[in-house]
Amino acid sequence: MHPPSNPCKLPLMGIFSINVGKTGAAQGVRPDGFAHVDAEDCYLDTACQSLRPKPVMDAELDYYNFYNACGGRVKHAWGKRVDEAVDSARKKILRLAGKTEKEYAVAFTLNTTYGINLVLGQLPPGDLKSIVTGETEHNSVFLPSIIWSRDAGKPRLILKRGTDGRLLTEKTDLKDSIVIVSTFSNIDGRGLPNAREIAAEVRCGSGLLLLDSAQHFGHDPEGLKDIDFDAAFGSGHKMYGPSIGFIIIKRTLLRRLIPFFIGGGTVKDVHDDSFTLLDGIVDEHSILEPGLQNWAGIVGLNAAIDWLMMVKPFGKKPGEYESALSARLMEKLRSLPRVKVVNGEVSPVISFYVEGIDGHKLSILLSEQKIMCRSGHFCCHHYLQHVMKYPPLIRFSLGLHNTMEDIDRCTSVLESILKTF
Amino acid sequence: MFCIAAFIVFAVLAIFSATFRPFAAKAWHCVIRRISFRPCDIDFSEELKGKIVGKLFRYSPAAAGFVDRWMEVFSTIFVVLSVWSLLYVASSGLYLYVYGTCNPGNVESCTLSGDACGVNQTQISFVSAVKTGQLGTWAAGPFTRVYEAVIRVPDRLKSWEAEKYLAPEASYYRPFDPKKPVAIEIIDPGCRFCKKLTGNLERSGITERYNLSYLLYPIPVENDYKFPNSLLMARYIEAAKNMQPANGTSPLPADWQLIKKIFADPATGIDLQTKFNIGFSSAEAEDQLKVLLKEIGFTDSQILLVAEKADSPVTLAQIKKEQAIVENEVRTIKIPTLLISGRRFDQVVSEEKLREF
Repeated sequence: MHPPSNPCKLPLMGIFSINVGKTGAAQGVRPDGFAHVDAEDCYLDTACQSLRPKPVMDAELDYYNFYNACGGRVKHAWGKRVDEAVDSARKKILRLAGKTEKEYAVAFTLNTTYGINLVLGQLPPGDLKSIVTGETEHNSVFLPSIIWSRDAGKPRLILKRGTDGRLLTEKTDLKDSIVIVSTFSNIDGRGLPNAREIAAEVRCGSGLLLLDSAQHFGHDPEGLKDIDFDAAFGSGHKMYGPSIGFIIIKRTLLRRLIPFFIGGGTVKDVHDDSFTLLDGIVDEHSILEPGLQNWAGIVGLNAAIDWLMMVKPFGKKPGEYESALSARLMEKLRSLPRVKVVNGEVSPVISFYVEGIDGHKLSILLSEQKIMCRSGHFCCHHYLQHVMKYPPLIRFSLGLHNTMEDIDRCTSVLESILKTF
Repeated sequence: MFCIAAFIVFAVLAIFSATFRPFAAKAWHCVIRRISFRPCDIDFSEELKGKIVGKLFRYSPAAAGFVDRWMEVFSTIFVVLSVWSLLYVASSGLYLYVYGTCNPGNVESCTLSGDACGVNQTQISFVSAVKTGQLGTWAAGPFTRVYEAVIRVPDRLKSWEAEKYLAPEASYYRPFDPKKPVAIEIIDPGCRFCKKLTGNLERSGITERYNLSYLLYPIPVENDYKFPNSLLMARYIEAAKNMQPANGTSPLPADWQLIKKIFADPATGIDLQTKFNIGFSSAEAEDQLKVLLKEIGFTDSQILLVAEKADSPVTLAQIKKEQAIVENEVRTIKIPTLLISGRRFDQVVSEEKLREF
């Protein structure tokens, strides 16, 4: 762990001065892969989009420079190279989730929201009796569940979640329901500790467990290994990869979908008024990949997974490093007057508000000091705005590019702002 | 209020740089509240305020705090000043169009007025208004002035037939020729720009191509005249009208000769007009006028007659009639005014320009 830097007095124009923490620039060190990130810039919005390490950018650039071709439909050398990278990415994603190719397929999408809509939108109600979701969910889950319920004519239940993230299912029968919940909250990093129990209950009937794991893979890449889910949705851009989404989906669920969104790359034969979809273990995912894919994105994601699995910031495991950063950030934030932390527990995603200062305004003030964070209700309006009735919040979300200097600097500047406003 | 202030600033910047046009549009939407903000978003004014205060915070947290607390007040002051400036510029534009000066109250203070002596409108000051209980009049002043300018707009559009504005006993530079059109200059003998115009009229040949006459208008100021000896000179000029100097040799009428003498530039030293304006007492001025009459060819007895006539109520009444024409019919607020070929000029007209007539 880096030693905390001392706040320094920075003279300006000989008249004014401001107390700011010394930045990482002074120390000059960022974790491996992030040497290109200006140490003056304190980026604390990883929950929205993580910064890309150099190897990921290099992999994408390599694709554009040396084999910038289509995958999946060509026989030439460059195309084959793309196919290899894509296939490798699918396998690596499955490996992260601890799933087999026999049971699960991986499809690439635009992002998590897109993936959830793609699956729910093509999922017939059948014997499913309801759709169940949590109160803290992101709009990417909350809204598609409303649409599915409305279109299917099935009830929709919103369950509370415990301070540890547990979905409080005691009074709800899940066995024939779709349960769609996040495994890592974008508000406060709450997990889903009872995921296995939920999966087991869902398995009692024809129910489905769909997981919004957009935030999960970046912080705990292998955290879904023990969960028997039907589909998990992720985003490359929240796990140090390019802007791309992916779905890890059970083949049994894939076969239940009634496609409405198809075209290039999804069929093996077409007649006057009919078509035959691609099938089989190799091509089954194509129903979720209509049209040309973001090949560079997939190549970059492939590299991001490699990087994520081998990176050791300052010799530590990513989880340990993040935990140390998170603990320090939480400790500092809690020590500041007027700062009301929303989190129940320490997490790399910490939300708070400051009494007397609008969250958006505070975000802009911080931005002007090169501290970039998120403000508002983080697309969780239902929970934050209507259930908890919070004012616009500030969210500091940490990533592997962050340093202890970042933590000291952002809290030092925040402290100065609190003294002024 | 901050949105309005931002709009004003960005609107002006947008004139010069396309970079600011989106900001101006955003600020405008903020002003008219047509923008619909996403719940995750922040409104434009807060965003801009945050950026300003945030930048300031880098240099001085205390100053940033101060600006943050008083931003709305600053914005209000800025908007009020901007609106006031806008109205001021608009009214000045109107005045410039109607009167040929952007400040009718003080013509000389407006650089766009051209070469002219202001017939300045008396405006009551705030202090005087308080003292005399005329606050209402003071407050209504700007509106009254704009109203007056608006009702005078037709003056700018009409054809100015010089014949209609001749003095009751008009005197022409050359004997009246019915084949020539009439032109009139309105002059104050003390106004240096009137002197300049008269010279230009001669040099450009207007005096030969037109039946050139004049209206005497000593510019009045509160209980006096703008140039202290203007009225005296006007009286002598008026008195010399229609009088034939016994020893005169010039074909010009005596009054025109006197005008020319007053307006003459000596080879060296201070010109006579300046001496009349700032050098001579009333008695000295009168003595000088008599000297000029002598030079024109008047005999001593004729000079006494002119002096008597100049001092008579009849002459004063003639001048008042000419003043009335200037103030009520021509309604000029700066002279020299030249009415020629249906057009009107309220400033010195160049020799080149006059040659076009």
